[in-house]
Amino acid sequence: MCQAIPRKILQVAEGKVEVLYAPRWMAVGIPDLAVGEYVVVYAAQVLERMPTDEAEDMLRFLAELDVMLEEASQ
Amino acid sequence: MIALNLQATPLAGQLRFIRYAFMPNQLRYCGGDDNRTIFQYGVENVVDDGLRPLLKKFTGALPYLQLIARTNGIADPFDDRVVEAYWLGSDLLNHVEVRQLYDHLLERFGPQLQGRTRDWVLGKAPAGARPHHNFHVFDVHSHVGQLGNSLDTIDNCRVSWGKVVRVEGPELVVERSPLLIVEGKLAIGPSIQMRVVRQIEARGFADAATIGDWVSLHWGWVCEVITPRQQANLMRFTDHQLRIANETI
Repeated sequence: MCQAIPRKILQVAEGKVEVLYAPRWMAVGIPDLAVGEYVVVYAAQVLERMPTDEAEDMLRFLAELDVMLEEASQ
Repeated sequence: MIALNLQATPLAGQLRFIRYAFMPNQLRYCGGDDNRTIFQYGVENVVDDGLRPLLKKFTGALPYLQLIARTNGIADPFDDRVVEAYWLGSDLLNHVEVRQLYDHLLERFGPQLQGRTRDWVLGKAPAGARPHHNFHVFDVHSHVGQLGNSLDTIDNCRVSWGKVVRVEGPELVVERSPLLIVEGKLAIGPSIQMRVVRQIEARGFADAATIGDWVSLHWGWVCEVITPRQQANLMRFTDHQLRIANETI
């Protein structure tokens, strides 16, 4: 249903971060998050921080998975 | 557009999918930016060529639907039998495991799936895990150490069941068993009365729900009236997936 997906932090405020999801604020207990870092989000909740290289890998994979699903449903 | 007798058409699965996907889509958790259109299809009980492309935007569910369909020799992943198996559970899940999907992804994308990407995509599909919506919900959150922070999300995101005790305008009061954390593990608690939304602007997918009916619930929304058999299936598959999720929490 919903997918866990990496998103880059646009802004940080107490207890929440803004990511492109349109910009959207999401609740973080994950400490010391910074603008430009990636987090894994699911259902408008931050699940964990993710290193940039791994986040970019995962986004590439999810894009390819979308193509595979589209092919399979033709 | 085609008006449908839901029980007798191969297009019924698309309408059933709407009933469950509508509320998380309205909350902008998944799917495309077509919520009003999706709602209209659902309340009007109609299907046309414009609906399927909207449903395919729910990319989290599609791999599971395709796996259930393929394993059971059903061509259409939005066949009603497949959609019911994914959201509620049915005998179609008896011979299909999530591991088959993960093996397929690993075979195709193996070298690309490294580090946490591999964990998130392939991480926890123990033997016996079925391609049921509630497996997906429990699995995503089993990656996270502090379940307490996510408990409300998990409880709302899983499809659950409730028995109607009162009908109050656009809401129902139902007896529903919430998800709890007991000694660090997820468990279904004793039932409590709670309010759920059944209508928006006086229309919904369970307008005929009455006292004593079983209904299915997703994000506080009444998806549909379900039969005692469907309620038993949903309870059985939820318990099964919870046991498996608890092995890795």
